[in-house]
Amino acid sequence: MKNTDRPASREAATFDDYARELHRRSLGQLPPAVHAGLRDARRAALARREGPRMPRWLPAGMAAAALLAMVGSIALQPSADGRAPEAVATRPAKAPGPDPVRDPAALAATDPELALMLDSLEQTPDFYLWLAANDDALPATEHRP
Amino acid sequence: MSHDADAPPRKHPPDIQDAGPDQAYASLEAFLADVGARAYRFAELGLRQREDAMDAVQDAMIRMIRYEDRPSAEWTPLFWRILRSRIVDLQRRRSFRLRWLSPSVTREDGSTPEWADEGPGPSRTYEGREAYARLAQAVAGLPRRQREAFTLRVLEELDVASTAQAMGCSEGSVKTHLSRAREALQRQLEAE
Repeated sequence: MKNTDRPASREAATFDDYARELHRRSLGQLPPAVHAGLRDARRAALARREGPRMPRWLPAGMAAAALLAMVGSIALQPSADGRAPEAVATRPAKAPGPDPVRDPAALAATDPELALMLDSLEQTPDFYLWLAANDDALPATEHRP
Repeated sequence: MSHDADAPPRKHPPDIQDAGPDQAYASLEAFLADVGARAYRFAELGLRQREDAMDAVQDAMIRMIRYEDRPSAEWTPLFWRILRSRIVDLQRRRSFRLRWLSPSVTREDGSTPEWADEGPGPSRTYEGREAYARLAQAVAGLPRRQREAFTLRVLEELDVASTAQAMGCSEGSVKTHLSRAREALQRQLEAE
């Protein structure tokens, strides 16, 4: 098998020259419409070049910014008890003390104003029992003139 | 000659700076102006359809813009490679489209090459057109790789390395395809 780039014979070389000459002449015979089309194609291509060009680093920069934002949002995400990590770390531990709902007397021992208020209340349990029993007996739509 | 007119080919266009073996174009615009007509003929041989040929050339020019920053000595093989792959893409799409729509329809309305009416003389124009039409028909009938090797290596006078680069194959393959193309063309044209 022939595997040469050069024409193998003078005949082949002549053929190459003949083909090249025909091709060269054909290029000079393109109709004006084709020339106009090529001019438009070239202008369309060059117009894209003259538009705003995106800097080459922009895609990589945008990706890096997105990654940073993602990492930051994960790091600053609130913990399970709803407080930001910094708040958990910096807030002083809650001092142990009496529960004002469950043990008002203990709270009153530390607060003189509360102690006075509690002393002014009726201390008889029977009174409250009677009051509760009568509340149940009263009709809900009782109208007092 | 201005760049606005797609000039006939010239071996050494004025926009080419003589930079030794690696000749460089002064600008991409100059390169596209110089290569436009030849690119159209190349696409016409491959696609045999005028609109598709123009589309392929325009697409290749647009894609070349991305490579403007490359050394201009690289533009020639790059452009032919882009154009060649665009032509192959259009051929595949067209064959799929025609198979899908109607297997009997052919759109090869460019079987006779585009030719300007005016010329050195009516009879000479006719002779030149007929001779080129015979050559073009024979080249267009070659297998794709042989057609590409013959067109790029003989008609466009690219060197073997650039032809291989444009075709995406080895230099040995270029030589093989070119040898077969020469034989087939000579045989066909001598038989007429």
